[in-house]
Amino acid sequence: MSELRVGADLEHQVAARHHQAAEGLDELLSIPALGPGPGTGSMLQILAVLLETSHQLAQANDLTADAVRDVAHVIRSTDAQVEQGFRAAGP
Amino acid sequence: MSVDLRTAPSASTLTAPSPSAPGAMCTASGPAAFSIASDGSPAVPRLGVTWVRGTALPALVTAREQVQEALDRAADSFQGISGTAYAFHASIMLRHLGVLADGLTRAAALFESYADRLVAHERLLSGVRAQAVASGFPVTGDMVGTPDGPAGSTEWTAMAAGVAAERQALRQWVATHLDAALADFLDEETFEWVGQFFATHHSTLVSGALGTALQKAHLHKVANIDRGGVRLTARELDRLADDASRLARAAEAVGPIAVAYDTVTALESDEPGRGMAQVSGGVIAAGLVLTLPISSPVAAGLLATGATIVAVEGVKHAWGELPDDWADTLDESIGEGWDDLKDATGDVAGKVWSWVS
Repeated sequence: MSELRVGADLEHQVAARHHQAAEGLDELLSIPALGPGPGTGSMLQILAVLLETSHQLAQANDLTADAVRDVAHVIRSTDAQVEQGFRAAGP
Repeated sequence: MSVDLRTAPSASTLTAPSPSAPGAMCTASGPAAFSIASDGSPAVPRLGVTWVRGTALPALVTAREQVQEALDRAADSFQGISGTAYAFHASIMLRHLGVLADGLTRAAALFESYADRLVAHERLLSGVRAQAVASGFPVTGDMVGTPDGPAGSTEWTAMAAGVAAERQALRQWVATHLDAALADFLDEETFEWVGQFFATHHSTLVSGALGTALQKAHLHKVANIDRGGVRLTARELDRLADDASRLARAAEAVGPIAVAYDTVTALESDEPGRGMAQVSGGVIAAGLVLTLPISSPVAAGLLATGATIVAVEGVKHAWGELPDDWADTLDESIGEGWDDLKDATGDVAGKVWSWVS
């Protein structure tokens, strides 16, 4: 078992970057207007598939950021509760 | 690809377009004119190529860098089994982003070849226009009219047929190269991974340091409910609901990371096949329960937990029933695959496990 350590800047350094990655991936959803042609529909279908993947990964990044924040919150809350317990039991 | 109607071997064998052929204007005696307008401009796919290479790929590269930076930072600020599981999760995220980058790169190359095909299409039609003018056929805008007399009618008919064949060939090229390629861009592995991640995060699938303790506390209660032999008082039900709420809150925090932790642990064990089967069984079972039309999140949470436990226990039992050589083969195969992955990912996987041990 390794040492448990949650840095004070976990949310800023880790979660925030996942949020930024999500925002960048979702910016891809605005594709240019393509003119008519026999292959335009196929091109749009291919782009739609790729952008859906991008959107999914954006959501996964958002959720990852939330999960990191949740873990930090749970661990810090538990730490604080244990600290209060010791204080309450003290003189 | 370039096609010149005047030198194409098949040009002499072409027949006149049917009255329903695209671009043909007909009279009672046959087509009166045919169109030499282009079916599409290469500027359209080139716009797509420019967007993919100039906007999409750079944005994706930036996103990958941010995830990589998050992973690097986590090495200092996020340690322990949850940090280890996070690192494993983030490394998988990077792999999926890499697959997406590969898809965008292939799409740009495909659009570029489509642009080249349209260039050939335009060049052929320009050649037909030049030939029509040189032969003295009436050319009005993009329409080539029939010759006034019988002279040149054979040539005119061959030209019209050639243009019709070219339009058909272009549509066939689109079907063969663009339509057929669509399936290659469907990244089902990423969809499945993201789907499991979401299902897990919103389920009460728990394990790991915090989750295991809560899971054990509920295993007894859920099992009793399943047997139907326990009559719960209102107070006990309230307590159960409170515990389930705590379980759900904790699971939201540790759920996805706990699964990643379970995965790493299973793969590093002596029986990676058995461990992965249990992890997969739990995830799938919890995901299935979440699809049920249950309005109460507490009830759904309890069911998901129960289903996960039953699934994991079921897999344990089923695994034990397998012939030894089958189980050994699966263990060896999955273990070797994990070793290969570690070799491939190098520092990331090594760093991940070094934090645990």
